[in-house]
Amino acid sequence: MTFEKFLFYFFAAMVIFAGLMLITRRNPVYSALFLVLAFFNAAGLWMLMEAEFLAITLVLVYVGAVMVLFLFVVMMLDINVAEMKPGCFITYLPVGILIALTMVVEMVMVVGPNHFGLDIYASPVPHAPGYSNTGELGSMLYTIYMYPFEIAAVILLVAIVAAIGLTLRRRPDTKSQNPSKQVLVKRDDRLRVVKMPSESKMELK
Amino acid sequence: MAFDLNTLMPLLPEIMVLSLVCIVLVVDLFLDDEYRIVSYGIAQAGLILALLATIMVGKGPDQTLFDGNYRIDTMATVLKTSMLILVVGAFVYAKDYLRNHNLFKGEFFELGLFALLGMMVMVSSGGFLALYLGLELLALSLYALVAFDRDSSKASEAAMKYFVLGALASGMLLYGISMVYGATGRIDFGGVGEVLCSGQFDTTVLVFGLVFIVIGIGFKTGLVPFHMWAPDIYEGAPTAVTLFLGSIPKIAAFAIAMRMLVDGLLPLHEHWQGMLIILSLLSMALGNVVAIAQTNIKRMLAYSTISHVGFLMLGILSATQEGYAASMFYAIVYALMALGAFGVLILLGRQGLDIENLEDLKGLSRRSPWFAGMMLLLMFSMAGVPPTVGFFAKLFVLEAVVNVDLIWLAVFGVIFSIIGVFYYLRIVKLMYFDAPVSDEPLSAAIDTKVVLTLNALAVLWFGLFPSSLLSVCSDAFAKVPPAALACATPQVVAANAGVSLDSDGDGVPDSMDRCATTPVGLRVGRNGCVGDSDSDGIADQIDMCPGTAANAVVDETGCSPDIAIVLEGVTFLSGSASLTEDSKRVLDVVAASIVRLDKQRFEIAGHTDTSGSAELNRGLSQRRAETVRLYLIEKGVSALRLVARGYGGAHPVADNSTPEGRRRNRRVEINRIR
Amino acid sequence: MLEGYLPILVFLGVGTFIGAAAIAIGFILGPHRPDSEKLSPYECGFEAFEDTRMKFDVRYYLVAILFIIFDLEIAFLFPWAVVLAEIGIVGLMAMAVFLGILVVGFIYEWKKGALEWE
Repeated sequence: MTFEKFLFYFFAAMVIFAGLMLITRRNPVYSALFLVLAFFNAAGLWMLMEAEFLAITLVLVYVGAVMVLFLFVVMMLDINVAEMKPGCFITYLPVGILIALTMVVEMVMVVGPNHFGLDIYASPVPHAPGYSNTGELGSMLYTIYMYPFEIAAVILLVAIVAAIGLTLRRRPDTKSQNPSKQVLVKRDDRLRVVKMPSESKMELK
Repeated sequence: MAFDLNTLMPLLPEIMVLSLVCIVLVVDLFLDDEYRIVSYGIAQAGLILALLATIMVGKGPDQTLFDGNYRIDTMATVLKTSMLILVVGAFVYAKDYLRNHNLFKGEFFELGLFALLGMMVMVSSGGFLALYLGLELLALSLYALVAFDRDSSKASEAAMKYFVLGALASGMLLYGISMVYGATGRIDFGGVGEVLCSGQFDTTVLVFGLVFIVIGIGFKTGLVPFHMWAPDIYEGAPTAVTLFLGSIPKIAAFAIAMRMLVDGLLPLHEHWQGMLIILSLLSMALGNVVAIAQTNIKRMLAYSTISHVGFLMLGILSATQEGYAASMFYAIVYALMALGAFGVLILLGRQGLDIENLEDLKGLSRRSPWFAGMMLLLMFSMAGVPPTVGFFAKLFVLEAVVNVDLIWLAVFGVIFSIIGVFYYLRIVKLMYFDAPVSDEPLSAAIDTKVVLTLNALAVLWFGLFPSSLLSVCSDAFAKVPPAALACATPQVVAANAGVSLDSDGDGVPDSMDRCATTPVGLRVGRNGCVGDSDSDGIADQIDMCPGTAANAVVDETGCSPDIAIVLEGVTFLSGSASLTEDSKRVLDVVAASIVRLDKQRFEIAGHTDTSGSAELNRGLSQRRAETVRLYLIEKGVSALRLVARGYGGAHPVADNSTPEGRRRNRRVEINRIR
Repeated sequence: MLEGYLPILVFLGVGTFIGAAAIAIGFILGPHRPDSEKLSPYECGFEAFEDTRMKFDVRYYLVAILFIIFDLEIAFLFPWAVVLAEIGIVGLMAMAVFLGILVVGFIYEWKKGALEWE
């Protein structure tokens, strides 16, 4: 077994392990952290396939940003871990295992050496050291796939509109200072000099 | 890289809708609440403009643009046109509802337009990638729309369910697409089809992927057993949103099934046919039976949708031109009926009050005989009672199924439709024979009433004249081969369709072609033989331009003077300068013509397209011109009268960014030297 | 191909070592005299008042999701910058349209006040 093969099996096993831990942990924070582990190992797999740019994007975007969001959500849920009973999990476990097993067997049968073996697809030739995966990606993305690329921008725009539309709430009860208003205040806004007729002297007896 | 702005022309409707969303987004930001109607007005005006653009652009030829990512054909144009019209109607209905429920915000129209854009991308997709992105664009907009009423916990729950199941469906679909990509190495429908026809693929992997793709389609379109989300979402979402997502996306559902299964995976027809039969049978059965038990009218319509989508799939699975056309007819008609039915619910609603239960429809005929009549039409149409259009939609689909010998399936379809009639007619009974619960008059705005009336009357009109819509649908699939001939050559397809075969491709059918083996590229007379086909007085044997216009002025060469003579039909083996056999036959004519014209000298100019390096192209065109010159000399032309020159790609006559343009640019011209 | 990653491996090794060493040295050399009071959680010298977990304002979520969207947008800029010379004016226009669409989104979130914290 070459070192590369060893790395592949290591990363692959770690992805599966992290995935299993992710769905079995009771504390959602642990689950989120195992998801991070899974992402890291998936990035390792992509690295082995010489897709460096995608591997780094996976880490930057998913680990750096999406997981932060997940953790926010997990914290917002305000779950009392002790109260979380594994009731549903056990009830649906047999069905879940059955479906998962079926899928695994199917996948092993289809996505195995019989259909994707080296005699069908030649093993990829490693690229020369100067090869830039990023450049390769770019020369496809902005020319051949220009149309899907622009749709991706529209999808991001929908995400902005939807996120703001669904979560942004004006709070009428918040009290805050507005420094520019404070600075611009004139004497007349605050102070009113009222002329009053002097009162007649109190008569003293 | 060359890029021609003209290739953006077919995209005009999409570009207009995108610009429209951006305009509404920005304008809406600067409006106060009481002027919100301006956003609505801009959206409607923009939609009408986009509609005009779609019709205008649709007159162009079928094309595949952006390297196979975008496809414009009759189907895309017809579906886009109907979607745009229906969105206009949906916005009119929604406006009233939103006002009544304090939800009148620009976001509704923005998200609705985004959803529309997603659907337009889907119907015009030329590959799995663009289709998937369009689907996500639609789905994301719909998730947000379902949760649009933030204060309703029911709506939030519905949105959550929709989102989770939608994400699962996307995962399934993507996994299937990745299998197809893995097995064929192509992501565009054309490319996948080519690989499938070449036979160089792994059936197991493809069928495995196909299963996931069909499940993805099932989830997204709401086919049993992947329908669980539909009733909850229809019930939970605000009625204006249910109206939108229950009607127009069904057209897109038809389009994704067509694009993926027919455009991309037609050679796998025997596999997906079986899967679709199961899905549509279950959908028709469960949809129609469970709908009877519903008391909530939105849930009832959800189950009704499930059964209708199951019915719609019958046409696609029959995999014939008439089947596709029948399904398309069904999809458009269903969207129209669903829009009207939900429109009636909105019409009956009042300030802050939703019409949700069947009870609320009681005695409608006494409150408003006219709109009870409209609802009657819509319900009859959904049930499939003639003379409404719903009857014909069902009839055409059943006809297509019977024609492929799936008679038992048609019988089941009829049985379940008859079961379905019950709950539609129950609504009619409630409206006409029960006492009203309230006798408040309808308070809807006049434009809603007008549009609803038009909507219901359209159902009647298309029922009286179904051929008007059906012929449009049939035209869209005139060129799609039937499943059994998915990989056959165009001649075989033509022969099977009853069009006579033209084996030498000269435009004269074999039955009338007395010279059935004329070389490709030579123009022929009506008898199919080389005579004087362009009637310019120069016999074809010596006519360098055998295809000049009927009464053009020509000189002795048979070509009009002053313009370069393009030698149509002179081609070379790819990348080399060797003449093909057909070209030699063309050049024989040219040689004969030149020999006859004493003294006139000619320049033989070689041209190429602009792909590849300019130097190579120049060299190649020079060599090709030389070859032609040598051949002509061999045929008796004096060497002194001929000059050969290669211009490379410097003088294009057509657009180098399209294959057709490149083909026209690779040419040999003959110029007179004066 | 793996040779290219040797410096990174060395870097990871050194990083892990320094991190682990810093903790280990503190653990080994520092004095340990635990008692129950020292080990109990406290908040400014008092017993903890409430659970660590608390409800976050949904606005944190909004900021995070807006960050992700623009993070992704920037991810698209890297390959573009690398090949800009090759893809020429067409690539430039493609990115201009992409950014233009997102600028509309930016205007939207700015004007809506999604970037303000009241």
